[in-house]
Amino acid sequence: MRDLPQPPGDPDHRSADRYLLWMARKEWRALLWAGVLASGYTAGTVLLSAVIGAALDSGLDTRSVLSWAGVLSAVIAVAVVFIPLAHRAECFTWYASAYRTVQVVCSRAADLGPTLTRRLPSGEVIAVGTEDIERIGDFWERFAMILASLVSMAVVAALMLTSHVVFGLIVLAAVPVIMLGIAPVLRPLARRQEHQRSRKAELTTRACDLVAGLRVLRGVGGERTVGDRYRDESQRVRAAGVRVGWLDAALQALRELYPGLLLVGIVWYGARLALDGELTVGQLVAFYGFTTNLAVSVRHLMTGVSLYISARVAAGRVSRVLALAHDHPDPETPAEPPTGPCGLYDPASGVRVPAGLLTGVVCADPADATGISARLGRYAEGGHLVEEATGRSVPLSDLPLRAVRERVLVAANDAHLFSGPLREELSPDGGLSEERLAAVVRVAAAEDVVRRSPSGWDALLTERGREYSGGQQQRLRLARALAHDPDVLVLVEPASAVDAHSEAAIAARLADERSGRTTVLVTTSPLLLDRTDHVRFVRGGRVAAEGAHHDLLAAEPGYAATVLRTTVLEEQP
Amino acid sequence: MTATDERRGLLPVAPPPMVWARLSLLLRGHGRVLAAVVGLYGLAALAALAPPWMLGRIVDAVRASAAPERIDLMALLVVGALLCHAVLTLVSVALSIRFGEAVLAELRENFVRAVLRLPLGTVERAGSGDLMARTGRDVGHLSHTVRHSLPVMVVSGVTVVVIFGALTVLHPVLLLAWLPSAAVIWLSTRWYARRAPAGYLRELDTYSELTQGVTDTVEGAHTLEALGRQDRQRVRTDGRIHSAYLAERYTLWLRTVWYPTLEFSYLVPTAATFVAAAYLHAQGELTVGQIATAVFLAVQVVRPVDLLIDQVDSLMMGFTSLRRLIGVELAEEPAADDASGGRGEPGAVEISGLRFGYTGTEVLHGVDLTLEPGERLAVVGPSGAGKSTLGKLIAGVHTPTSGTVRVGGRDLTGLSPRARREKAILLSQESHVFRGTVAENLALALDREEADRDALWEALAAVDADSWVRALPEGLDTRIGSGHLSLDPAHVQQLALARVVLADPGVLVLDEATSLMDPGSARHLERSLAGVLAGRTVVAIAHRLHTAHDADRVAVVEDGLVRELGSHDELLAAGGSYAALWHAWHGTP
Repeated sequence: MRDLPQPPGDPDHRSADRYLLWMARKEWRALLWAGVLASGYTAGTVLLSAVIGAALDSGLDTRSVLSWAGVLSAVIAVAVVFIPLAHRAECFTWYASAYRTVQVVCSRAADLGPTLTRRLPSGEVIAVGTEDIERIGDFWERFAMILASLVSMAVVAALMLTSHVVFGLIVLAAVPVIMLGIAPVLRPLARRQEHQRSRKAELTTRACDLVAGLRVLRGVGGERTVGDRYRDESQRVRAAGVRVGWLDAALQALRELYPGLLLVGIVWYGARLALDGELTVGQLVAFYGFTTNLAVSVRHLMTGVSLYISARVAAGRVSRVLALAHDHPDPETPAEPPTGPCGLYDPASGVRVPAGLLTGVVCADPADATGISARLGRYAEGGHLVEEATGRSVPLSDLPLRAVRERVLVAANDAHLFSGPLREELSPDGGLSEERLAAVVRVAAAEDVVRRSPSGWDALLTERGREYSGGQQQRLRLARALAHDPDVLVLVEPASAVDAHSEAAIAARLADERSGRTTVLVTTSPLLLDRTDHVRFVRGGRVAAEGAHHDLLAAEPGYAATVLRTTVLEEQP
Repeated sequence: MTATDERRGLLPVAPPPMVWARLSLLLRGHGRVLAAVVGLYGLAALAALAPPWMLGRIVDAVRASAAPERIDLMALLVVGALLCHAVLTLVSVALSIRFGEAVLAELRENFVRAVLRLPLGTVERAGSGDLMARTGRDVGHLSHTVRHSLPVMVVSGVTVVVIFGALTVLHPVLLLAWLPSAAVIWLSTRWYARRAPAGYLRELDTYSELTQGVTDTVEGAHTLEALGRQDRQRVRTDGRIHSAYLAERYTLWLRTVWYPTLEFSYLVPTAATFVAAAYLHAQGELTVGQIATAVFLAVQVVRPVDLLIDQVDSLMMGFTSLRRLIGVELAEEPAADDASGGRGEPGAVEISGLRFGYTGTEVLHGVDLTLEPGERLAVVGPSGAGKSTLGKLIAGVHTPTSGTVRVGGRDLTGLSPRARREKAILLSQESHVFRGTVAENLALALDREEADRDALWEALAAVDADSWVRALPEGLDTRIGSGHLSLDPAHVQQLALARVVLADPGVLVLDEATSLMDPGSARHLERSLAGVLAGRTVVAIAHRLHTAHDADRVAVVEDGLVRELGSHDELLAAGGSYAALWHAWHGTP
């Protein structure tokens, strides 16, 4: 078996079927091989019926019984050899197709960045990467059996046609009739299953909601109400399950009834012919066996069809993610990227950030802060990068996205903490030296976060760092941004959830850490602003005042009100 | 001690005997339905024997050159039997599904009931990770086992018994053909069952890693792109896939050994039955037709036996999940004794010599503090100094290692949740919005489905939330929470505060309860809240100094001790660390 994962390649995302076809082209060897092996097994079981029939015709003396028993055992041995080989090949097609889908979805997600969650709810995309891959894998795993069923039907039809033309024709006609006969149950069953699925999903959501809010429930109250609601929903799921059960049972009954009736018909007609001497008893017995083989093949085929239907829905969702276009794509003709130290300029607000200084940006309206940081980071149109040496100003949208990201980092509080070792999470390339790690963690006043784990830098972060408090997470994010060490760093409210003691420490250390580099602090915290080189005060979307923090505090009542969150009268302690 | 270590094993897993006892209780409760299912399906399985039986009779009839009408009659009889089989299958399968759904509903409802009785301290310490896994993954496994495996087990088990019965009736010697197979199936399945659980557990772990990776990639796509870590993430995804693949390869190897032995044991009896039946035919004990019947009965056994063995994995998984689900009941809160204990003034808090540590490390090293009823105390200090722990101890979430905490004259840890909440409630930074309407979210605090609307509006007004709730599309009836309208974090905190206002405890501990609001609104809210909570004792743990400024007294907690205590003005005059912070904040020297 090959090693997995393989490089995924470039998927065809124009439609669900094209995506499935692309996978088939990528894995055609594995699929065909699995099909051949599975056919070996099913053909063996058909052969078994033929051998039993021939054995009964042999006269049943000791010699012939023993020799036919030998043939029977040989056929069985061959069929048994195919079983594990086919199973392995089928499983491989599951792994290969499911893993390839995870790869292309994750890869596309990482490239889309903020566009992804803006265009699609993240839950939907996660479901693609976790549930839809199973549907796609299940279909491709079953694909070998679909091929094998077709092969064994062909073998049965051929064997019966050569023995008796009418029987062959009956069998060929019976397969589509049986499949059509079951169709009336399938549609309402699918509908009820859909209903059951949505009820089940609702119940799971409700249970997870209850667990996520358990602290509130146990702390403030509401256990009875929530418990009652869960029980009601659980009973609805039960009712939906019972409704599905009736149709499910009907399907099972029909699946046995139709092939059974075919069996009776074949044996009855065969017996009439045998009475007339047109068939031998052995042939009659063999036909009985063939018909049971046929029933098995029909069952596989029907499973295959329903698996294809769900795989197609899943592939549709996959191709929807893959087909998303980036909201802020690279320019067709990129501008010459600036060199040397750079500042930033936002024409919309008039905010200028000189290179090499620590600039505070204070916005009276929080919406302005969001807009300015988005423009300065090329998350919205309008920001400029200014070359310090020449004063040349380059619109960020004229530069390739990657070039901008390499130079400018906007670190906001919605940044995600990834699961994995702390060291890896903080290091830009995966392996920062311990001295440097210790330094950035000290600047972010996050020593206690590292200290609380005995494994230190190798401590594992789980689920977006949920085991850490909001303040601790914020300090880890700050440490990560500092370790990234970009030319231009825009920090948006980096200490809003941190206690005043730590905030004061961060303010002092940050100025040293970033000395000589371009740094923007979008904040209203007086503790942080206290250490800036100068401050831009934005009101009504435009820069209203500029200057040092202390001067603005004294000269601008609006600034003082924004920063100290007090009215002028209350300002003095 | 890391957070994960702290969590590990905190929620218990039920011992197997407890699970068995529960299961037998369940089966006894549904005994009649189960008996009906087995009985009906037994009849169905009998009817399913008609085709091989007919084959044998017809073969003999043909060999005896019987009248064609006899063959027609037999065919008609079999058609009748098949119709009976279909109807019996329909009813018994539907009944068995109904039985399964009932059992499943009962198990999951018991689990949730137990979850809702977990002590607050356990919930706080265990976090939601383990419980979430039990709610999602374990309930899922159990559902699969009960929905798919249970009906299959009943149906296949009955079928196997009936077919072997038929073989015995035909000739008991025919059963000998199955003896070696039974031994091989038993041994190989035992071999497999000993290795499989560990293999599948590892597989599950690698897949939850993979799922976590996908979740991270999607939810953190923004961050990956900002930090230029796309390629690194691709390598990590590939790494996770590779470990999933390796885990799969191990279980695949187990199956590669197990499957052929099974298949061999099913098919060999077909040949052996043929030899045995032919021998019995030679002895004149069986007709040629009966040989055919015997051989095809042997073939017919294969599918139900296979289906039965297929359930081994599912059953093992279901059992493990059940142990984890029932295990939660072991951590349920013991019945509380609300009556005993002294009566004190509501709202008074007396703390003396309080020491406390989470497993091993001590966090609080002897705290003494007394609060008058109606007093507002602000607690400030660096992260990790023990502020939140102090808050939890006041609210009775944890039991002190030594020393005492008395609220309203009594120790809260022995009280029932209801009685405890009347005395003190802790509100922390992280709150939760439940799926449902705004009104339902608020009414939780009263534990009633329907609450007086005016009271709800009053509570919302007290936390400055009435205006935005009025602006929602359907006001109080707007659906919020996961899958519905999502609220911004500041509004979530306001709802949480409104709940507490409705609950109206004697002592309120606010742990950074307004930290996610913008500072101006937070201050306004705290002032309007102070009006509503007049007469209630409030302990506010805060990082914003205006909270401290507005409080009656300020406690500075550092290294697990109260270092400074006094009014704002007193502390400024004292010139300690509080004064230094205040001056930095205000840019005054």
